[in-house]
Amino acid sequence: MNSATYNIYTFDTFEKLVDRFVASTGLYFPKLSEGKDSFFKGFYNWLSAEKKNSNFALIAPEPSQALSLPNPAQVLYSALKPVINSPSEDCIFEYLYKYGLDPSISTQPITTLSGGEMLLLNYAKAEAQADYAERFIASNPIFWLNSSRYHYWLNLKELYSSKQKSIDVIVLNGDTYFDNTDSENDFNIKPLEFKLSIQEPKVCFPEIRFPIYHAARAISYKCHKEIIVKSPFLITGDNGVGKSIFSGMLSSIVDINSGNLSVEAINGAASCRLVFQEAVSQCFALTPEILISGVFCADYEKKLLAQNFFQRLISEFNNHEELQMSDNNIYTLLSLKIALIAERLADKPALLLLDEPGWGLSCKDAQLLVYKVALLAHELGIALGIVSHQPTWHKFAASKLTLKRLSQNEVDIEYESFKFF
Amino acid sequence: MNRLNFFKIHLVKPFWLRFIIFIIVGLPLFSNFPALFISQILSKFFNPEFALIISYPLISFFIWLFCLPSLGLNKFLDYMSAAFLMALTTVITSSLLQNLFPFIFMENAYAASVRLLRLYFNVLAVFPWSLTFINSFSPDSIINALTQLRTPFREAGLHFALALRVFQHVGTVVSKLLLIWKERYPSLLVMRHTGENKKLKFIFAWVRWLAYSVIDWVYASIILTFEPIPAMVNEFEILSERNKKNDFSEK
Repeated sequence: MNSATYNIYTFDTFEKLVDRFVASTGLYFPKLSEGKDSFFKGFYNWLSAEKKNSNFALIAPEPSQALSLPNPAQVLYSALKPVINSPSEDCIFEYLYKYGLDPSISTQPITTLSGGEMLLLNYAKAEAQADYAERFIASNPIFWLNSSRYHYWLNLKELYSSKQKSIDVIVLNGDTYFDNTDSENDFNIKPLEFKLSIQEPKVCFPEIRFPIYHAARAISYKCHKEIIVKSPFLITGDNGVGKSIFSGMLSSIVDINSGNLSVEAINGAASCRLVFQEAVSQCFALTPEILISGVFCADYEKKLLAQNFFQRLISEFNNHEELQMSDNNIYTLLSLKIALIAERLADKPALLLLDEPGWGLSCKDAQLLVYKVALLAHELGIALGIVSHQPTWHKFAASKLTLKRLSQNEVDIEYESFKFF
Repeated sequence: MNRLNFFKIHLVKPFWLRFIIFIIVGLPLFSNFPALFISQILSKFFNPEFALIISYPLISFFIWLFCLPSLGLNKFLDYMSAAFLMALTTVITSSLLQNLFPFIFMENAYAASVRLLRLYFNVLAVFPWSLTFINSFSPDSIINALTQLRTPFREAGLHFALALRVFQHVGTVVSKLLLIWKERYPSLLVMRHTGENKKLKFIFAWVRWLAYSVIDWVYASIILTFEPIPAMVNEFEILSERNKKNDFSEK
């Protein structure tokens, strides 16, 4: 009889975490931060290597990676098929419901799910696989979750333990749940004010009729006010409430169907730039230097400025051994994030939004990065917003916007300024 | 509404029948024979040259009609706008190349024009046909169906299911990259930072930026499409193995 073990492995960089995941699962997981040459080399090696099937339940370092099929219904149907001959729709809904997911997302394309929803779907899939998976390997299994949903992880852990199956958890140092060794540093940032005007913005997502029907959806932010917001500020709320959509609207990448949402800095700037959750994809698989050179190819002055910001921020991580190797063209997720931030700071927008800045970084690195970026941004008159559900960021924030779901299609926004600033 | 379901190709079952229908309907896109056959019939009523020319748009029209019920009007128009863009770009580029390097294209003007016309309507039809084809099959149901097949067919079928999923994934990658691009360059086709460049300098910088952007798009699309393939392969093989075991144990 197997004796179930529960192991937690912590790492200080995302790259080391990925190495461990690959070693544990035998599954190739490309490190896009190392650039395209490294990707093609790794992919070629994977193609020419002998394949070993790893019959594990997985949560990959990027939660979407272990969800190979197009929508939640198909993911769960396939995971359940070996156990139940023909899983019914009700059975699939039951699994979604069990992990706090609305059954209406069953036909929604995976890529449009929020980070938290994707992780919960991974949980539901892992539960469906519990009977036949040899073990459960989960990397960053809590990161995307709001603390009110941590109990889903406990349920899953209990299930695997009761079936005598081992669980390996791979996390980054300072993970809020598994390695809560939060630094006691004081982050003194002088607040910067800017004007945020919210006039009941509404976003509509049209119905999808092909290949699978998915009903139209709309999110209406029920808030009509002008606020003087203190930066750095936090945009927070439950999983799937619409934080990323709100930041998308602010940065004009999500079209607003009615109402309005705008920012205005003291210096008159009115634009907002966003660093996505998926910083790796946002780099277009380019290395930091090429990214900055490409964006500013027609503006030499801004290019120098961006390069200067990049060097300034990267020098804050002098003790970071991976970054020290950048002379040999080895890049990390951290250096990519810094490049994206430097590029945006050189543009001097009114507001810079960092969507889940801690993803793929150890707690220490994430906090240092956000602190240094806040200081630099305020020096330039740029406000900084952090989009996250993680409690860690409260100590940085001079104020916060909390998004609360009023109904299926309505979200309320509450503003709170912290007195100690 | 239900009556329309009969014409929706993605609802045809079993999946192999759907596959055969797709191949038959798409045949004119790969072979000249159907166009020649139609032009022969039409030549009884029209001038043979005109009959040949009119057979190409007729075939495209038939393929659009075939795809429309499944796609719905909005999606069809989305696909068609991309198809028109691609068809015009291809034909204009080909025509320019033909005029710039006539020694490479050793054909008379009439034959060259007919070839370009055929290319134009082929692109207009290939685009909606291939996207409807790719999205009309669900990889997991193919894998499930494959468990009943013998080994060589199973292997081939697994590769087909994987290829299908990868092609489906291209659509997701492109829309994700578009969002990223929009954040970086809100005007999409002009760089965000133009500096204080004068007209000529700006045009030079823009051409260079455009060329690099095309290269970046190609690489990013390939890399982000290939990125999940190892995980997909692993999952598909596990599903196939598990279903097979399940199937045998039931027997």
